[in-house]
Amino acid sequence: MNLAMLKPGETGRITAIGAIGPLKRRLMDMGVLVGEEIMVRKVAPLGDPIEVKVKSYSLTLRKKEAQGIEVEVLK
Amino acid sequence: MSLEPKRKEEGEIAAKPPLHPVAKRTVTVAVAGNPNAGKSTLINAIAGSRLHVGNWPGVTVEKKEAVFSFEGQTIRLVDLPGTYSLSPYTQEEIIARDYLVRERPDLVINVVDATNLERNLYLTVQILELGLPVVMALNIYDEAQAKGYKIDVAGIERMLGVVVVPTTATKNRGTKELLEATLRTAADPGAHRPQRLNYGSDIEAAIAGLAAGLQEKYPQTAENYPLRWLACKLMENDAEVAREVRIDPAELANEPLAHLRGAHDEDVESLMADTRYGLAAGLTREVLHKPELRKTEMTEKIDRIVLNRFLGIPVFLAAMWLVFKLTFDLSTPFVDWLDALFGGPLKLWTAALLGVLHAPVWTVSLVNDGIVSGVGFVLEFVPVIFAMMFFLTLLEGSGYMARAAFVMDRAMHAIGLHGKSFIPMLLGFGCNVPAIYATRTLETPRDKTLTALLIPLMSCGARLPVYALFVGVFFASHAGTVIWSLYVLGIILAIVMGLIFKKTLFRGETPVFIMELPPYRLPSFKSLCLHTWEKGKHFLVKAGTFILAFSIVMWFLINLPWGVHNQADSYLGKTGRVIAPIVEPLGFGNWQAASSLLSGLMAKEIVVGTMGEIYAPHGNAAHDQAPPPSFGSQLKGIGSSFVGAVRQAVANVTSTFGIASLSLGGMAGSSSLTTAVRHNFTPLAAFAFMVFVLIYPPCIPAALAIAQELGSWKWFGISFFYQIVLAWGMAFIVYQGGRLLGLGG
Amino acid sequence: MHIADILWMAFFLGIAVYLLYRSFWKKKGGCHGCNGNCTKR
Repeated sequence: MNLAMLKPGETGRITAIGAIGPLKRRLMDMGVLVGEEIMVRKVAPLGDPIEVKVKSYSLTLRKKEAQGIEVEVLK
Repeated sequence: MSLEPKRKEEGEIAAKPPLHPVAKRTVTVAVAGNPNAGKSTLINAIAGSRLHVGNWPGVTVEKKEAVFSFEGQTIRLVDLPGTYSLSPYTQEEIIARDYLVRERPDLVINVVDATNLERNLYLTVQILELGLPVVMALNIYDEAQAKGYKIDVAGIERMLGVVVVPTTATKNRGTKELLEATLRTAADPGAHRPQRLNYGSDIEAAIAGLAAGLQEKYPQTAENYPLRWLACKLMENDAEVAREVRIDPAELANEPLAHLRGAHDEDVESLMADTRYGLAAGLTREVLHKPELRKTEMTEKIDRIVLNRFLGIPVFLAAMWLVFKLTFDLSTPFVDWLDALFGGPLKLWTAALLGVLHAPVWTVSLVNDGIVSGVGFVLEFVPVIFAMMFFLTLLEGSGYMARAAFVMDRAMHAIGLHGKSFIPMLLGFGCNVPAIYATRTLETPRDKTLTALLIPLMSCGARLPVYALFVGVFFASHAGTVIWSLYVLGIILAIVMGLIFKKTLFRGETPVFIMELPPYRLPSFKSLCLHTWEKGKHFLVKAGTFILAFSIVMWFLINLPWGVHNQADSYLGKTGRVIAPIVEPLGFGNWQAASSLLSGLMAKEIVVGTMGEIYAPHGNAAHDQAPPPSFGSQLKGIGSSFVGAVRQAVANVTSTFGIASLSLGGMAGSSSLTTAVRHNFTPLAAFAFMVFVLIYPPCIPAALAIAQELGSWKWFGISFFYQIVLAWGMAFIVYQGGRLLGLGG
Repeated sequence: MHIADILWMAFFLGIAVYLLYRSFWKKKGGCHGCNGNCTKR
């Protein structure tokens, strides 16, 4: 199950980050770490990107990037 | 790992010799923090207009510095780019890091967003590794309190070993205390060295091993850099650092490091990130207490509508429409006011002044028909430019822009751009020059270049005088619609060119789009004004320099050789006649139009000025009609018409649903120019002319901006070339197509 | 054409040239002149 597959309102816990190099580092810098809870807040009107909530703030991610983030679904 | 304080080690990189008590030296303070933590607002609140904006050497990232005096001590604030981390992956991070490591400022003010403690502390932890004295500004404190957060400030101070000052930059609270703390710390850095955080025994052992190895094999290098930091970076395989110190991390391999690598699943870099975040999280848990109940925040409520699946785009379109409406509604009455001012009283005063100086008669023509007309016609649009910049700055500061980028990203992506490109392009509607400089916020050169190439197609404020003139003569009853159609045409062409560029010059992946959506905030009025000024001043500076200079030059070109009677034989006329055939198929193949367009290459604003000079009657015949009113009554007239403008502005906003349009009595309305235009153009040719002006290269300052921001003249060349070709092509299609359709000729 | 005319002409053209010179030099020169030495110490 990856992040892109979550629906708005669903929360997951990150189990793996598939990206490598600068992208992975960027994600980590923004708080997207293995073990973190991440919730999908919204999808943009045109379908892409998505807004997620991690730690205590909101981020946007394109679906393509979200696909690389493995999660296990919570609530 | 723990937050237990660790004893400071001997052999730690020494600070510079202790500061002699204040007064003599300038204290250099670097300001670092996350984007959206309110760093700019804080610096603006402290330093205000004493801010000097420049460039970090060698790159096109903004550097803000301010030098000021506080309680007798000179302080130099250096604003580092906002970063989430000090890793070597983005230009901003590299700049921030390099500055801290190489320049070794006396102190670092770390601006932390109190509503986002954990993520902000991630950066703090990294700053602490550098061993510099740190003072923390716990900003956005009011919001945190409003949310019911309870933050143990003393606890943070204890655990990190830094002085923490709660601040609310938007309300200018805490700034004084912050500066006091800064000076206290700077005066006695030894007593204020931050804690060395414990990363856990495994990692600490590896760091110690590396540090020892460094001191042994590279004692010189070890001296020049913060030792602990250097060891960490080499351990993380930081390419930038390794390259700079010319040390291959493999050389310093030691047992604990090998153990570290083997014992964990992930690479050391990820491990370190985890550890740092772990510390940040642990610290946050200790000092932050969030209230039990989480009421839905205002931001969430607003976003339910703004980012709604169905409402998102309409809201966005409405916001854009509102920006344009408010801009024009509020500013056009003042444009008219300035127009009357320049066209009437100002010309009378300059003529009188020149008379007093016994200047020859021709100078009156130069000053009035040349300078005042040329520059005046441009300056009167200043209210529009500043109004637009103000509203765009408001959108940006409030946080809405990020939402707009979010909504538009998909569409932008389709033409090869980024959601974030959207903001500079929007600025382009005010003035292309600051818009091009705004491409700095884009992360990759590809994004920057593509956006900068498309910005000139955003119809900027400088083109308005041209539209105003022709629309006033030929399309007065549909003024709004015609101008609107030109704007839309620009946008459509930008989309088309974007697609073309995507397939040709910019093939390849569009880079990632990760952007924070900050909570909605109301920016302080002071910072709004400062930012608006920063964006709008380019237009003013242009007017005061380029346009003034070119107006003078143009006048001479039209009126020389000395004593020439037929304008067509002047230098300008001769040049115009050579060019005229090129624009013949576009419907305006006369030398006057050709020369005006040529002058417009310098700056679009000059086009009308040149036309005005060409078509203006020679001498002062027009001015001798009636005795000019007295100075006193002129002043009164100016004052009362200003009041009238204010009233009109308010009326526009409240009453009209559409967008107000200009009436422009004074200058464009000057009968000679409008009559001349009416004689020399047909409506179709006028429209083709406006299309040409919309598309062809904007102005020299914009060209310089492109060359500067994109780093070479090559891109300017490409931009120039495609714009000229496209302009000619579109005007051709409009004119010849129109003729075929029987719309005139 | 009297000497007065020539002087006035020189005056105005002088202004124009000065402004052009300043604006070109400022834009192109700008910060490139302080590469690496931007921090005053």
